[in-house]
Amino acid sequence: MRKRATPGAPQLAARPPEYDLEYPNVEDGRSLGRHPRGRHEFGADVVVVGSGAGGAPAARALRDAGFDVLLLEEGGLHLTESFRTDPITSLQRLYRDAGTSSILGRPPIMFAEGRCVGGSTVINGGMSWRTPEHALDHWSRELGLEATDSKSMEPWFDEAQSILHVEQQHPDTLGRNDELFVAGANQLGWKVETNPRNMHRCVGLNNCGFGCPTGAKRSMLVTEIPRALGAGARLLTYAKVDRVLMRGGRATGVRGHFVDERGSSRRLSGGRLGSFEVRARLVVLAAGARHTPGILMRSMVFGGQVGKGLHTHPNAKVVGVFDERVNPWIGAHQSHQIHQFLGDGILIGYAGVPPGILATGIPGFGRAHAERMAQFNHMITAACLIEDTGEGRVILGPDLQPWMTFRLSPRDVETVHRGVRLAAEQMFAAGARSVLLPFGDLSEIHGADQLVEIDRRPRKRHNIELMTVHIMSSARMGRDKAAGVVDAWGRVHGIDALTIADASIIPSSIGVNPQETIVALALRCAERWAGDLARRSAT
Amino acid sequence: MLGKTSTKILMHAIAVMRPRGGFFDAEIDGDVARSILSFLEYLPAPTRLTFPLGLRLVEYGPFLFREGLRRFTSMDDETATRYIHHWERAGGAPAMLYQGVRALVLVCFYQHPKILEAMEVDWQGRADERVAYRAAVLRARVKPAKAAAGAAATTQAPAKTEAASSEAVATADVAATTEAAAADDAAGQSHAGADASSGGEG
Repeated sequence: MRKRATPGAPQLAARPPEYDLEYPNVEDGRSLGRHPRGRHEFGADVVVVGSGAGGAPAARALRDAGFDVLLLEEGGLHLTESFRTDPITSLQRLYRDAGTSSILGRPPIMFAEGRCVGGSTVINGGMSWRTPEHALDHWSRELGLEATDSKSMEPWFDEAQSILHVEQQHPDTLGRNDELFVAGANQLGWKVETNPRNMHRCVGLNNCGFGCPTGAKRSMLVTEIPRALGAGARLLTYAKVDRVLMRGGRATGVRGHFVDERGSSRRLSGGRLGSFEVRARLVVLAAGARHTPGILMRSMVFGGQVGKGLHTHPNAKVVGVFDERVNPWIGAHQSHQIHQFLGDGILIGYAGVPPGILATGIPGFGRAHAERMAQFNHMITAACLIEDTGEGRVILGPDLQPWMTFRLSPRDVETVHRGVRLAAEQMFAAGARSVLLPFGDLSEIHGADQLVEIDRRPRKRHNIELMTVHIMSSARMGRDKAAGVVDAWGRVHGIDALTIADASIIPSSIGVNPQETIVALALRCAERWAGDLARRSAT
Repeated sequence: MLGKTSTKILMHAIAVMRPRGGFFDAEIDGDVARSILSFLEYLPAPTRLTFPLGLRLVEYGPFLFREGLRRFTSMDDETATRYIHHWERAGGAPAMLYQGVRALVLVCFYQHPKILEAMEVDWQGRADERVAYRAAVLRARVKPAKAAAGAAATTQAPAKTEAASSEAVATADVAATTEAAAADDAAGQSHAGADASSGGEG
């Protein structure tokens, strides 16, 4: 698609350079599907399913290696200048199920992921941490995964950071919420980490979760996707893959159907959108840790570890209410984090959340709710992220879509309580007059002397409000089929030419934001697949 | 997508659950309902298809919680509020339905332009300003860089122009003349590859 003016986009004398990026070789599946003359057929050397942190770098690398690459994306191509700060519009356009997915269990965990070109990199917070040393040690030593030690991974992390353009936050973009977050940690003597973020001169709009209209965030939408397309890769949007085609133990392509902007194949005006089939020498699944195992299961790849071992990296929200005006919507998104308790599985951060979204996490309704929300400009939304030890599953639901289940382990429940206590303590140390908690039966405390109430709360799984944007490990790496779905190079055990490049192959919970891990693993695997393809061509 | 009866139940739920008091008393229930209806289109099919059924359960469910045989839509505010709290505390599917309806009402209510304005949250206004600011900062970096690169190109072989241009970009960061660029450079921003590396060990 060549650039064209986006209706409603601001007419600026000076335009950010990302507004002028070109996206050639894009076909809109809604248009193709509108005239379903049987099945639309495509051919390519490589078909990549998903255009997020795994699919986009893999597609670009394979294209650079000289292969004809077709990238399939279930969502649409939404350009940088079309992004708005209205979360309702953004949830509908950029998120799967408008952001209303959840992981079944006790407690249920709210879950959000992207469904647009660029995938979740378009709607994530833009944090770029390398996989922690202890996780890489675990992969290489205990799981026996070839070349996953920190020295072997180093060049892939370097390349990932180069693609993501990792920077520190510019000082003129920090908000009062950041100052108070840091002040609270300093007061307690905690070490504060400056967040490495994938951006090019972020100006602190704090709209990362709903698409960055400034163009600063280095999502796949403004990095690997235009590079891949510029190099000759093709992109088909609104194309949802149903299953992998196989013949004689070898993947030969994928089959799917076109969907509209709601993700539905049934048009509002009536009738159904058409279907498609892609024949390819290599199939790369990069649909995320929920849908990649779903595609495998719909392709009759069951058993072994498929869908098992799901990690959720859940987070619990802790809202500090201050006497002073904080204006949480002014200033960059999460410029600092607390890693001091990572050894105990706890990471603490903060975020600027729009009123409508924050409101759903504040208990009650009516007048009582309004009284709390009237304090919105005096609030800081902190969160503790938990390195989970429980394991969930991805299963195929009666609607043939992947459903997720997860059960917090007793240790996770304990860790949630400890993390919430630490985050609340930090808010009080920063001067909060009260703190809203994620517990249905203990929703607010009014001073540091009441922190003990958190300690006293019975360690029950229910009545805890959790959410996640970091699911992983549902088709994990393993030395053999008994240990994992793919080998150390993302190749599905027992099926030729079928590979995976997304968070589902991460072998264990990593405890930090997974974006850079996914990009690094995708680059590393893509190089190996290019070699495999070249060898196959030679023979 | 909702029928007349379902819409009537939804409107009553909005009236009961919507925030109240002070500037929250704005007459926007109709807008909130329209916003919710547009949102429903994007929900996953199982949720979308069972939502009207859930609303009917709310309408005819008062007797389950010993609230008599009245319908939800015929309840006064106080009784309806008490009834909705029963759904909240019921657990399981009723609680999930409560959470879903509540979330839709609150998101669409608090994101209404009138409410945002009253809360003094002008996120979109700030977005327009930030977009222009970043464009100015980047343009200020590039313009002097191009001029310096042009000067360098006249004295160097074409093959070296790219290197000269890169060097000029760094020079331009200091020499930029606009206020935005001056502020930008004064802050001394540096790329943080090294920090990112060390941070990863945390």
